[in-house]
Amino acid sequence: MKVLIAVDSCSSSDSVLSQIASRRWSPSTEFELLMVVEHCHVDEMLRQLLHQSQIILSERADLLKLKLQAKSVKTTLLEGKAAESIVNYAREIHADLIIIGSHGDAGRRMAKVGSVAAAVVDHAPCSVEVVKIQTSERQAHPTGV
Amino acid sequence: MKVLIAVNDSKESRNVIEQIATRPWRAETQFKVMTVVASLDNQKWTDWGLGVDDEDLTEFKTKATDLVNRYASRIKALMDGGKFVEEQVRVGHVCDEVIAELKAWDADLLVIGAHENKGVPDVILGNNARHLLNNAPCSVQIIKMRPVRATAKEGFAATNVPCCS
Repeated sequence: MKVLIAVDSCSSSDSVLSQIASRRWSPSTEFELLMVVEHCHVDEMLRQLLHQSQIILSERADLLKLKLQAKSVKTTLLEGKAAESIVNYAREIHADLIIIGSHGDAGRRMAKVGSVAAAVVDHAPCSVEVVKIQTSERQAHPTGV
Repeated sequence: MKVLIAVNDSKESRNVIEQIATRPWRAETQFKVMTVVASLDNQKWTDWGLGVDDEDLTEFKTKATDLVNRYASRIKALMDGGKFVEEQVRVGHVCDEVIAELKAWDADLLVIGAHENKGVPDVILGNNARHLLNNAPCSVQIIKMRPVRATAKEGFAATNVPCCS
């Protein structure tokens, strides 16, 4: 089973990883963390964004790997529109499940699911789990991720 | 962890049961299978000659009880019979009742199936699934029938390939 975990630089992604780490998974499950950086026309700014995102992505992958005791957690950093990139990448790697937070920091007070998560649910070629951030926060990070 | 599986008598729900029951879960995970007998606003529909009488409602509830019992038995069978699976039938508005059950049971995860929305490209979720996704107090997993084995070159807009056939 291939599980694609869509994360961003928001703290809400930590809650997504907490929920994943608290579950039981088959030893054959392959995990891949995906982060998408929106295109920026200023080259230097884009370069910095990509660099910072790669660091965040690697840190999150290391934490998840530790908590899941997985042999490896792949990471992929893409540049483009978030929902479109997630869906296309899920199709490319033949993902069986996409896990995504309901919204980033900006939308935390909103009751409804954010636009990226909603678009991924609509267009994804596979099953999608939308992690409601307030729920995972309520669990007070049981696994310590 | 408490997992609520909302079902109806459809191939999508049968697929949800098969997928959920064949995944590994922690021993302490609790499952509940529920369905809702949709009730009409009796007075309004009766005025239009479309009301549901008590006899009809009893029959619908019996069928719904059989349905959740069948699904719960299937989960137990696929999980080596070791799991206790609760069963629940509610009467009312589908989304309202599922959300009420999620809150009453303090569920951690709602699992529902995605229905094919024929003739509407790129929009897979039905109204109920959309409403539940937006309003559920917990995480929601939307199970699609099968991954579409297509290439990324087909692009974002090419997802009107049936996911629920």
